[in-house]
Amino acid sequence: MTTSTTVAASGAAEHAAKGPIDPISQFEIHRVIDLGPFSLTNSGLWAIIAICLVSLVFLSAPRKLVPTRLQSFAEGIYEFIDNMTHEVLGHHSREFFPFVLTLFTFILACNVLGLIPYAFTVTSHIIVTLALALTVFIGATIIGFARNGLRYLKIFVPSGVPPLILVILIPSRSYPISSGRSRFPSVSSPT
Amino acid sequence: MMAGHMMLKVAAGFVIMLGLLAGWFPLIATVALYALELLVAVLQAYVFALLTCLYLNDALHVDH
Repeated sequence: MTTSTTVAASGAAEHAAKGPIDPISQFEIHRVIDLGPFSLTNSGLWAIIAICLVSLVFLSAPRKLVPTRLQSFAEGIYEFIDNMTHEVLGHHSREFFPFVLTLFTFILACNVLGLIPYAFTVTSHIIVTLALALTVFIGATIIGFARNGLRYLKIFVPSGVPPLILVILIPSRSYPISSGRSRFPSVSSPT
Repeated sequence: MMAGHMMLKVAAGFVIMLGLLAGWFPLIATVALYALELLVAVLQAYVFALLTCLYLNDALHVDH
């Protein structure tokens, strides 16, 4: 009892001492619905709100021949990602388009919702972006091995290299590994 | 997202601290930072989606 009151009092004093500039407390995670280990935090709540917003935009957009404002907005996002996947993935784009569209719209909704005052920015925590990036990374590796078998290891070797050169090349130019490592954090950095 | 949001809050705090007389300058800065944050928000989602596509492309097309 006494400890809880002192903690609350010190918390209140800390809050009062912070003044008008308090840039860090907006990132605090607290429980909205307290259910022990299954609690809903404000981070989870805003992620759910982001998912609901994306679903609402894409499901409630009318399917008219002459598009309304909401419909052209939804179609704009759809076509943007469709073009991007088609340019990069070619004829495989249909398989992975839903995943990329979901990822893009979820991150976009989380980021934009976080700009509303008093909202919580889900993507500001590195654990969220890291989890998303690891999902993509592990998923792409599994797909690579499932589609190509052990030939997938060839991504570490430049094409058209005679086998003898590899003995020299592998120790000195393990650059695909290092470039993979350097590209990987750029996905996960919360900017 | 983290750095930008902190900068926004610092600039917005300056508006309150400086008051009616000088508070307009950090207000302009807040608006400019908000525009930058909006750009970063879209850009981060775009870069994430693009890198996902590139990784999947690497996984699908090994031979070239």
